[in-house]
Amino acid sequence: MKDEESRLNAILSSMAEGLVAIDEKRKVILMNQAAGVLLRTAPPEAVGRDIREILIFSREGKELPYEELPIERAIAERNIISVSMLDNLFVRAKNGNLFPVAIMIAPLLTRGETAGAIILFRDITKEREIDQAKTELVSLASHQLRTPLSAINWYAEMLIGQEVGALTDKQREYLMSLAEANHRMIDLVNALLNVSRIDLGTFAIDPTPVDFASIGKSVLSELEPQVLAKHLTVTVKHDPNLPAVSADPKLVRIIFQNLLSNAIKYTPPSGAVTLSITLTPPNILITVTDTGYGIPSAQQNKIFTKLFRADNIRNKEIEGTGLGLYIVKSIVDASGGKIEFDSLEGKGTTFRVLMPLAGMPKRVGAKGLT
Amino acid sequence: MAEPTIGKKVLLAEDDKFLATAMGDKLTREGFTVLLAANGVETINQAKAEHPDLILLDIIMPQKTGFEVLSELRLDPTTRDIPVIVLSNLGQEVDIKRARELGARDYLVKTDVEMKTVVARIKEELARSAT
Repeated sequence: MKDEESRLNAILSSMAEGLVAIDEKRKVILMNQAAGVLLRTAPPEAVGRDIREILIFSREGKELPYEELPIERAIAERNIISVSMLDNLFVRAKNGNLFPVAIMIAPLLTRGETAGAIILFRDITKEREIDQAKTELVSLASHQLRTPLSAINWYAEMLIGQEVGALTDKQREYLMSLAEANHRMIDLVNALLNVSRIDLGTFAIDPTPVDFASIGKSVLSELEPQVLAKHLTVTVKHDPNLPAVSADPKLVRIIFQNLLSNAIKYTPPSGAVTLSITLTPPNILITVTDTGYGIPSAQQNKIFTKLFRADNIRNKEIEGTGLGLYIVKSIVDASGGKIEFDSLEGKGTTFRVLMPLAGMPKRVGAKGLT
Repeated sequence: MAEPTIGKKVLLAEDDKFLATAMGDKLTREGFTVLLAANGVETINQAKAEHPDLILLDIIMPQKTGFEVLSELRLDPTTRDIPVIVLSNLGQEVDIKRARELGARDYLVKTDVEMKTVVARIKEELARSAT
C-alpha cells in the first residue's frame, strides 16, 4: 500500500504537465510539482484552498468570470473539456506572470456522482511562438511571391497595350495567354494563403451589416466575360426585402465567387446558371444552380476535401485548384452556417448555403482572407 | 482640360528593380517627371530635397518601411502635405488601416491593380490637391 502510494506520488511529481484535483466544493485536494511551479504556489500551501484563488484565467487581458470557465462546464456537462491554443486562454500565476495555456478538464466521478474535477494544463508559450512564426512566414512568402507576379502583370499590360510598339495578332494572343496564366497563378497564391490561414485557425471574421444580394450581383458582374464567352443564361432572384446581415463582406464575397465561378466554369456553353437569395428564418438561403457537368455520385463525399477535383472535369481540362469549396465550407462552418448540395452527373448541380440571420460571430485573427 | 501630368514630379519608392522600371517607364510615358528611391531612407531624403507633387510608396523596403516613411513625412512640415499613394503587395485590412491612419491618401495592392488604374489614381489625386 505504501509502495503504491509512493509510486503514484513519483508519477505525479515527474509529470511535465500541471495537475490539480478539486473536490465538489472546488477545494484543491491535490496539486503536483509542475502545477506548483507554473502557478508559483507550493503544492502543500494550495491544498484545501479554493481553486478560484489559485487558478485565475484571462482572455484578451480580461479576467474571466468563474462561471464561464471550462472547469464549471466540465462538471456541469460531466464531460471532458479541452481548451487548445486557438482559444487564447491565459493563466495568471501568483507572482502576476501571465502565460498561455492548453487545458484538459475531466469531471471526477465516484459511484456516478460528480465529486470534483481533474485539471491538467501546460504552458504553451513555445507553441504560440512557433505558430506566430508560421503565420509570419506565410505572409512573407505571399509577399515575395506576389512581387514577381506583379512584374509579369505590369510588363504584359504594357506590351498588350502596344505602348512600346505594334504587335502582330499572334504576339498579342500569346501575351494574352501569358497574362491569363499569371492571373491564375495570383489566384492560386491567394487560395493557398487562405487555406494556410484556415488551417492555422488564424483567419479573422470582421462583421459589419452586409447586403448579400448586392455582393452576389457584384460578383456576377465580374464574371460577365466568362458568361458571355459561353453564352450562358444567368438568372438572379432574390427576396425584395432581404435584411442586412452582420457578416464579414470579404468572406461573403469569397463564398459567392467560388460558387458562381464554379457554376459558370463547369457548365457547358449555352447552359444556365441561377442565383437565388431568399429569406428562410432563422437563415438566409443562397442557392446556386447550374445545368453543368455535375459531380459523379461516387465522388460526392469528397467534394469539400482540400485539393479534390472530380474525374469528369479533370478530363475536360478545366482549370481549378481544388481549394475553392474547401475554403467555402471552412467559412460557412466558422460562420455557424451550413452548406449542402444535390448533383446529377450530366444534368447539373445545386449548392445551398444557409447563413444565420443572427450573423457571423466576430473572430479576432492574425489575418483576413483575401 | 489641361494635361495635368506635364512637369509633375512623382517620387516612386520601390525596391524591386523590375517593378521600378515598369512603373517608372509607364509614368515617364504619361508625361510625369519620375524620381526613384530604392529604400525608405532614400525616399525621405528625396522627398525633403525634391518636394515631389506625389509619392507612390511601397511598404516592404530596406532600411525603413513605408509605414516608417509615412510617419516621418508627417512629422516634417515641409513634407507633411505631399500626397502619398501606397502601392504594396501587403493587402491585409490591418496594413491598409495603418497606412490610412498614417495619412496615405490611397492604398493599392500591386497584384490586384493594372498600371493604368495606378496612373488614373495619381491623376485624380493631383487634380484634387491642385484645387
